[in-house]
Amino acid sequence: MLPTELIGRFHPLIVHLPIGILLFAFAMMVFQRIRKIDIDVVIGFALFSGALCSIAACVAGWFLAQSGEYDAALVAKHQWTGIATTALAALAFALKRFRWVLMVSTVILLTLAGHYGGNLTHGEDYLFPKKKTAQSVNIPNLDSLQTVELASTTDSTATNSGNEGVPQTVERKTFIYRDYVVPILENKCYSCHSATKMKGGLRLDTEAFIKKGGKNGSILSPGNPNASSIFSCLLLPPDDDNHMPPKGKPQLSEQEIAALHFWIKKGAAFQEQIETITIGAGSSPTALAIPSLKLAELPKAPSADSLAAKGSINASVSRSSQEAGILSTPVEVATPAALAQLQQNNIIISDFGQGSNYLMANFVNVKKYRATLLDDLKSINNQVLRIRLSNQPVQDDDLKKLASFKNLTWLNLEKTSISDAGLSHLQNLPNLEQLNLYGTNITDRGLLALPKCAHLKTLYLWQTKVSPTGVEQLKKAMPQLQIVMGGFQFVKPDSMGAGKKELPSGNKQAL
Amino acid sequence: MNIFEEYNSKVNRREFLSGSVLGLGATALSSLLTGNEFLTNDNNLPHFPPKAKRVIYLFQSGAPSQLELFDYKPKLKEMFGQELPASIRGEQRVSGMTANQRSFPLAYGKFTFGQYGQGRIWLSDLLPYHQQIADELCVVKSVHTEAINHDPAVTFIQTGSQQGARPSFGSWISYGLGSENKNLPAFCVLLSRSTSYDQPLYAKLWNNAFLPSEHQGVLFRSGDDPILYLNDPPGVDKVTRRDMLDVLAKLHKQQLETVLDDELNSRIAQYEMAYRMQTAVPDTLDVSKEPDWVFDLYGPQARKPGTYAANCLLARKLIENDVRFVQLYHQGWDQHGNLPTDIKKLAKDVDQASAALILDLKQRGLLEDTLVIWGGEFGRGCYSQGKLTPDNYGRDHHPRCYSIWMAGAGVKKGFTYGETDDFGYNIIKDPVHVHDYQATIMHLLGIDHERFTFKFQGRRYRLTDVAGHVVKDILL
Repeated sequence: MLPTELIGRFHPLIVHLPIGILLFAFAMMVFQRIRKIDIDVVIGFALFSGALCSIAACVAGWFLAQSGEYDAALVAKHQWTGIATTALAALAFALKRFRWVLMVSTVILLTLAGHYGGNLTHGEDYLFPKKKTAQSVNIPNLDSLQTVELASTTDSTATNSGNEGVPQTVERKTFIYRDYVVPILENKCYSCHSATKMKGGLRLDTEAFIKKGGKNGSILSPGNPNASSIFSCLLLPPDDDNHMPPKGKPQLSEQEIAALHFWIKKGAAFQEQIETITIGAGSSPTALAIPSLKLAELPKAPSADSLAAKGSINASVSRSSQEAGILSTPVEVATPAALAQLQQNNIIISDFGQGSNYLMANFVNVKKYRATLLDDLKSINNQVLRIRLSNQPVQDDDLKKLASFKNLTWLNLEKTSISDAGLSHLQNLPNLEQLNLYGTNITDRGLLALPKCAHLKTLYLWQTKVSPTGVEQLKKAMPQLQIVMGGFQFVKPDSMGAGKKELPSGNKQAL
Repeated sequence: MNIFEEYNSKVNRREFLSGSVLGLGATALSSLLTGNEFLTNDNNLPHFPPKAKRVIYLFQSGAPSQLELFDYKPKLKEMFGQELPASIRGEQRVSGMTANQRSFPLAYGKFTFGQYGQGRIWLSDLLPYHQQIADELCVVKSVHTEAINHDPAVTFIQTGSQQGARPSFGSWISYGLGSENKNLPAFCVLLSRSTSYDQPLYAKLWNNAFLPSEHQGVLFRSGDDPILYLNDPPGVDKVTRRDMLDVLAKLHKQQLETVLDDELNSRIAQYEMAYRMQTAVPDTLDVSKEPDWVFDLYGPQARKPGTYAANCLLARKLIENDVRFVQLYHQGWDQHGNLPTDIKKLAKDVDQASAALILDLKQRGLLEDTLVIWGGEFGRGCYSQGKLTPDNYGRDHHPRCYSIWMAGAGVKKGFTYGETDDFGYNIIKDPVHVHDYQATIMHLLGIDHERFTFKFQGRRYRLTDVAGHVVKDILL
């Protein structure tokens, strides 16, 4: 967090000082007039400190507004009334002659600014809540739902009379779209996606428009929230261009996200649904329980880059999906002690960016490799996604120590001393995507262990003892695997016509 | 960075004032919040997961003609010798070298183009080896710049400003991401011998400017002694050298306590780096153990130290050792006259080795997280400078559009981006400003170019100044 951000957070605290002091100064002015005593010095001091605190509140407020977490229009109102209050209070201190006029206006503006501030913090309908109507329901409180109508199929009085304790069948009418979805869209989406503004060619204000989607195609896939960009865009990281609502706009609460998820999961109906449910003994029949969602447990939304690459918001296959998936799952931060120990051993640890606790380990600076270094690395086994052991005399048995690195996605073992036996230790790495074995003594036999790593995408086998038959077999077992055999040589331009020639690595005399 | 920590709680007046104004607590807190001191850099970078960890920038100084290499314009052939329509040139200011020309006849050489690879990438027959790696290339045909002369244009693409006195691209990356290999500098510069020299290259192009001076590019010269004064002079052995450096560091630290000049820290760091480089550099740069097939791949020139091909091979060796940013400069592309003959020589200088570098990185698995860039400072005009004959013509500077290519980490393969008009004069689709290009490379390295700044003389500076948009369409 930036220091300025921290100062911003103090705005709600500081802001009450000028409110109190200035109101009290005004009270003293009234008191002075009634009792006809001379407390000008005290009033002057109060106005001075009031104005000073106002300035401090303005500064802090400015920083807080930079966070972009508030509605911009409301912030502007609050900001300008606040600044005007400050200016008037300062004038009231300086121009004694007009003090009464200035102070009366100060108090009025102060009230206004305070009101806007309250609206910012507590919502616009905090002071005077709107009446709930069918058309404009406020964001529903999902814990205690009131809008579900119930009709018992058996006896309408049964629920209230003596039938307690007996499970019964009731008919429940729910209108998730009207009662939950529309209010959310209205509050958080309409400003950019409705009749007045149609960003991305998308409108969300009627059923037809939602079904039609935007310029990138359909946004709703009933029953499948993760394939529906109306939902998946909510889960992208805030910095992502496709994250919705865009950074700086009011974001959806976890409950609201859960409600959308629930709606799509249940088929994204635009009509009232009637379902027959059985209510257990003693349970309250009135609540339609929307299961709460743990955002961290949701399947990961595809990254923006992959979306951009496909040119479609619905395409979701990212090249490094395994790693991207892990990166968006939280992990505890590595302990400084563990990192210090690794640093001492010249193992370079780098990270995946701010807010991520995942790490990469590079042994490039290690002068005297020993297997115990991998034991040290175990202290961060959950955080490490990539390990680069290139050129180190890594032995087969050393790789046993990697078994606990469940999140490992990239492993560089090129030019190490490993052989076939070592590869069998890698089969417990479920997320391995990239394996570099070039310049090792791997043979066809070693490759047999690899199909266990189901997500392996790229394999480097240049300058190994693998034969073309072995490669063919592996390709059959893992069709999605890209195998780089290397040994590239050019076709001389005077014999042009063919593309580049890829020599099989077994063909050593050609290298 | 916590200035209090750094100076061991010795503070100067300005730091003290700004520290106290922002709240004493904030400084203490920031040290708790700003990441981990055990990671490779202290700038809290990257901002997000990087696609590229290293960069090789094959800079083609003098501005290669895109019209002879990448941007196929049959219209020029059709209209050979005719005037460039005034509507195309518009208000464009041309350089002093052609401003007084009475006519601007459209020029076209006897080079043929073809489409290569699955991406059907246009390449001329001047680049037969590029044709064979077309599937790895991402050609951007719509780069444009603001300067019309070499020095400001090279300075612009290298530092983000035409005026100079700003840090080079590599210096920013060195400062931002640091080096993984402790024994080699994060930013290495290789100057190559050319068949012709036109525009000079200055050390300011790889200068650190206001960044701490250990982020200056380290120049590797061609020849037996790639880094001057790195070896111990006769009569000085390792022990003596070590003792001397220890005493020197002690003296520097003493001085630091009195003058609080951060440059002294840089000086200490540079002495230490040079000491470690004494063994690392000869090991890394030694190509004598490279097998013959390497020289078949890069071309026979690669055996001659200092050639472009030899430097491409060195670039691969540096990258293999986790150097962050390798910048290679090749001069001689400024073909105002005799273009058809001269461009053949220059293309021959760079074609095979550039393509070989891509393949060599690929078979080692390094192309996954290394970005290779090939390009100059601006393009060349579609009309002839000087007399136009079927066999001879020249081309003047043209900042409105030119072509570069990238390959490797995070960029699309076999892909062409951007379009110019039929004359190759104006961009008609997807323009990429130099700042956009810089922002995109930063993005590939996991850096948000707008957030990566350095405060100097009261202003926050960044490589892309106040502009730049990431070109997401070329990213994987």
